[in-house]
Amino acid sequence: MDKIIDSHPEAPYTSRRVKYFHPGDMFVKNNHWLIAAIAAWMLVVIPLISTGEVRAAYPDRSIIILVGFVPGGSMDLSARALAKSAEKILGQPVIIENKPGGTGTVALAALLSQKPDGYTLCGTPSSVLIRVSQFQKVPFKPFTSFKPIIGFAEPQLGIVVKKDAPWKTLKDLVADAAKHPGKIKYATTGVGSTTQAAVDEIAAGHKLQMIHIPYKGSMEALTAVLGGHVEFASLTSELIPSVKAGQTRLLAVISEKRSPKFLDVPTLKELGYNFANDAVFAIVAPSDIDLAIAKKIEEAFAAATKSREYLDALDKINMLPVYYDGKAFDAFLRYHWKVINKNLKSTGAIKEAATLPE
Amino acid sequence: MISSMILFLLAAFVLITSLGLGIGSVSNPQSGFMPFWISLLMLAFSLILFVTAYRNSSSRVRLADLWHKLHWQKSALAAAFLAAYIFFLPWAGYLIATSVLMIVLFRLTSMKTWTAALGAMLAVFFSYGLFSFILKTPLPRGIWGF
Amino acid sequence: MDALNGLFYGFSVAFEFHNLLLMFAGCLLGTLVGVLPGIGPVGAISILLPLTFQLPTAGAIIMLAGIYNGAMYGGSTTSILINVPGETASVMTCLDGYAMARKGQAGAALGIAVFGSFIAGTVGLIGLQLIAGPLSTLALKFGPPEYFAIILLGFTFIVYLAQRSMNKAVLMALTGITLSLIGLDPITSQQRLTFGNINLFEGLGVAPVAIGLFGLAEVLGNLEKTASAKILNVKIKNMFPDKSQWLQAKWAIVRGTVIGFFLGILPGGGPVLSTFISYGVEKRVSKHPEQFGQGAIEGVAAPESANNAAASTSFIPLMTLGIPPNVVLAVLFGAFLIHGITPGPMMMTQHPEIFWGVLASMYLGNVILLILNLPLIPLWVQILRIPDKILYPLIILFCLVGAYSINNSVFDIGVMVLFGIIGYLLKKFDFEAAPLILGFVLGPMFEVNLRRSLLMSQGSFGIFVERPIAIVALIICVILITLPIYQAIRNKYIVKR
Repeated sequence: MDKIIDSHPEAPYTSRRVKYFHPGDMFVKNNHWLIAAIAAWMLVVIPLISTGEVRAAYPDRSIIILVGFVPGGSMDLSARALAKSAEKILGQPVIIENKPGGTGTVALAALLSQKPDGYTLCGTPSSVLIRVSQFQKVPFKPFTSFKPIIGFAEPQLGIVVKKDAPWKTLKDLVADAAKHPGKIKYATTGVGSTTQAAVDEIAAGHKLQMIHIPYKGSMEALTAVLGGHVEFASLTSELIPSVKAGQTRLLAVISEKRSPKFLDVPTLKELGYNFANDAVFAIVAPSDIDLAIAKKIEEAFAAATKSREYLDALDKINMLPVYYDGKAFDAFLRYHWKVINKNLKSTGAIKEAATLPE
Repeated sequence: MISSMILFLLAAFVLITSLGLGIGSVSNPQSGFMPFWISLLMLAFSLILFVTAYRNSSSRVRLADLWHKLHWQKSALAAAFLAAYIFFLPWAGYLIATSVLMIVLFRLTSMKTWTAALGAMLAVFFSYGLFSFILKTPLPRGIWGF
Repeated sequence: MDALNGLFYGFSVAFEFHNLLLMFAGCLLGTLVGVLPGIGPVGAISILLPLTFQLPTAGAIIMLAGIYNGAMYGGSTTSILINVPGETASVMTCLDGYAMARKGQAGAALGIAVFGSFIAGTVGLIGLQLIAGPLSTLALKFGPPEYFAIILLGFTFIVYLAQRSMNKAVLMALTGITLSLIGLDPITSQQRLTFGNINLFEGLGVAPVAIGLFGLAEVLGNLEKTASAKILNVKIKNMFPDKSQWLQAKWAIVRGTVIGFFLGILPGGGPVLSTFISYGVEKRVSKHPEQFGQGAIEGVAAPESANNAAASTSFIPLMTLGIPPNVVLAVLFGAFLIHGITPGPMMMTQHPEIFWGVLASMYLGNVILLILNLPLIPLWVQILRIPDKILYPLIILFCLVGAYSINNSVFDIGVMVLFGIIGYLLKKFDFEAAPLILGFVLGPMFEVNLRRSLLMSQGSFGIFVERPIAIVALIICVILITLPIYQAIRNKYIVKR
C-alpha cells in the first residue's frame, strides 16, 4: 500500500529535521530532571491511593468476587445477582471482577494468590472444581485448597427434541434408538460436560449405540437440533426460551427435583436413571480463611439468597435457585467427584484424574 | 528467506506436537488431526517461499535495507520497554509501572523531560480514573495494594 | 418478523436515548480514527471493546458498528487533504482525491466522497435488511458439512484476493489457524500447544492479538519514521459538487456500490478490496483513463462508494451464518461473544433487538455522518495537527489498557505486546496481517465443522459431495485454486515461446 503512495509523482513528504536518534541521549541528558519528575509523581500518587490498613470488624471495605468467565455469561450474571443482594446485608460493596480463562481455573488460581482475609472470594461452578480438574492438571486441589461458602444457583439442564419430532417421551426416543443402532445423532455442550454425562447414563442403561456430536455451548447445540442436523440434544439453560416458544419439546430435566418452570416434565431420576445435575454455582474462599469471617460471609450470602430481588434476578437469567451451605457443598463436591471420576473413566474420556482431589 | 525459515520451524514444531497428541482416524479424528495437516501445508508453502526467494536472490532486498535510514532504535526501545513493563506490572502495580513507561515513551518521541512527565501524569491519571471509577474495572494492583 | 416490521421495531430500539447517544459517539469516534492515520477501525474497535462492557449488548454493538461506518467516511478526509490514507480502505482515494485538492477542488472531492458514501452505505443496508431474514432461515439448514465447505471457500477467497503475494497470504492464513489451535481441543478438551499454562487453556484472545497486530504494530512502525505529512493549506469551500461533476460521477457511484455490495458479503473481500477493484473498473470503463491520477472525480466517487457499501453488507454473513467475512467483523464477532451472544442463524429470532436495532441505527448513522461530516472537516484538519509525539504514546497506552481490561489479565497485555512486535516484523517482511487474523478467527470453526462432519458420516468424505450447498462451494474452491496455477503455467509457456 505504501508503494502506491510513494510512487505518486509528487508525494508530499517533506522530511523534517533529519536528526538521528541516539538511544543513550534519553538518559544522559537531563537525567536528574527525569528522576526528580518520577519522584514528584510518586509523592503525589502514593498517598492518594494507599489506604491505611486499619483492623476493624469485617467487612470494613469492599469485597471482590472473582469470576472465571466473561461478563454476561450465566456464572457472571448469577454472581452479580447474589452480590447485589449481599451488599445490602454486609453493608459494603461486593464487586465482581471477571478473570476469564482456563475454563474457569484462572480465577480459582488467582484467588489462591490473594490474602485469605475474606475480601477476595471466587464464584465458580462446581464443574470447574470437580470436572475440569479431572481433565486438566490445575494448580489447586479441588477438596482442600478452598473453603466452600455457599452453593446458590444451577442452570436448567434438560433433553430436547425438535417440535415436530416423532418422540413424545424419553421412552419413545430410547426405544427408537435401541431399534436403530448407530443412526441417532445427538448434540451436547461438549465432551466431558454434564450434559454428555447425562446421555451416557441413559445410553449405558440400554446399551444404546448413538453418534455424539459435541458442540461448543448450548446455543450452537440448540441450533443443530432446530436445523435437524441431530435428533436430540442435551442442553443447559438456553433451552428455556426455545421450549417456551414451542420450537423444541423438553423430554426430561436433568436435576434432583422437577423444574419450577416445567412442572409436567419428569426428571431423569423419576425415569429410572441415577443422574442429576452436578454443576452448581458456588462461592468459595481460600481454605486458610479465618473461620469466624467465613461464617459471617456464609450467613450474609444465605440471607441474600432468600431476598425477593435475588430470586427475580435469577428468574430473568433463566437460572434456578438452590441452596447448599458450606458443609453441604463440601459433601456435594466429594460425592460428585467420585461419580464423575467413575463415569469419565468408564467412557474412556480420561485414564486417571489429571489433578488429585486432596 | 529468513521469514520462510521461521515459519518452517514453527510448522515443524507443530507437526511434532501433533504426533504426540494423536491424529486419530478419519472416522474419529483426534486432537492432533488438524495440527498435523495444517503443519504439513505450512511446511510445503514455506518451502515454496524459500525456493522462490532463493531463485530471485539477485533482486532480493537485504535485511539491513529494511531498516535503512529509519530510526529503528526508537521502535526497538519502545518494544523493549513494553516487555519490561509487563514484567514489572504485577509487582509495581498499574500506577507506578505505567507512569514510568509513559515518561519513557514521551521521551522517545523526543519530548522535553518536564512535558513528558506532565503528559505521563495526566495520561495515567485519566486512564486510572476512567477505568477504576467510571467503568469499575480494577486495573492491576501491585504488591503494595495499589 | 418481516423486514418492514423488523425495521420499525429496530428504529424503536435505535431511537432510545442512550442508543442514539452511543450511535452518535460511535460515528464521531469512527470518523476520528478514520481521519487519524496510524490507527484504523480494527485497532479502534478492539481497543474500545472493553469500554462497552458496562453497556447493554445492543448499545455496545451499535456503538462499534458506528465506529466501523464512521471510519469508512473519515478515511477519505486525510486521503484528499494530505495524501495519507487515514485507514487502508481509503488508499485508492489518495490518487485522485489529492490531485483534485491540488487543483483547488478539495471541496468537491470531499463532497462527492461523502455523498457517494451515503448512497452506497444506504443501499448496502437495504440489502442487509432484505437478505438477512431469508438467509438466516436457510442458514438453519446449514450443518457441519456446509459450514466446512463455506469456510474453506472463505479461506480460498482470502488467499485468492490477497493484495500481495498469494503464497505469503496462504502462509499467514495457516499461521493464523495454527495459533487458533492453542488451547483445549474444542471436541476432546485435550490440551494443545498450551505448555501446561492455564492462561492458554482457552487459547489466545482475538482482541489482544488484534490490538497488537493492528494497533501497537502500527505505532511501532510509525515511530521510526521521521517524515511528517504536510497538510495542504486549502480553503475548503463549495462542498457541493456542481452539476457536471455529478453527472460525471453518477455511474461511478452506482458501479462502486454494486462492487462493494457483493465483495462485502464475500469472505476475504470487504471494504479494502472493493476499493481497489472498483477503482480498477472505473479506469477501465472510462472514456478518458489518462485523467485518472490527475484528479478524475470518478476515481474518488467509486472507491468511496464501494467501501461503504461493503461495510454495510459485510454484516450479512456475520448476522446470518455467524461467519465474519473480514477483519473488522472478526473483532466484532469477538465483541458479540464477550457479550454472551453467538452470532448465527438464531440471532434474529432470539435477539431481535440487537439485529434490528443495529440495522436501524446504521441507517441513522449514515444520515448523521452525512450531516456531520461536511461541517466538521475543518475540525478534523485541526486534529491532524496534533503532533505524533503526543499521539503515539497515548495510542500505546490505550492498547495496554484495552488489552488488560478485556479479561483483567496481565497475560493478555503480554500477548498484545508480542503480537505488536510480530505485526511490526510482518510488515517489514511484506506479509499481510489480515489473512492471519481471519485464519485465527475462522480456524476453530473450520476444525470443529470438519471433525463434526467426519463424526456424522463415520469417516466418509462422501458427506461433502452429497450435499448441494457443500458441493457447490467446494467446486468454486477448486476453480479458484486451479485458476492462478493454470495462468502461471500459461504465462511461463508464453514467455518460453
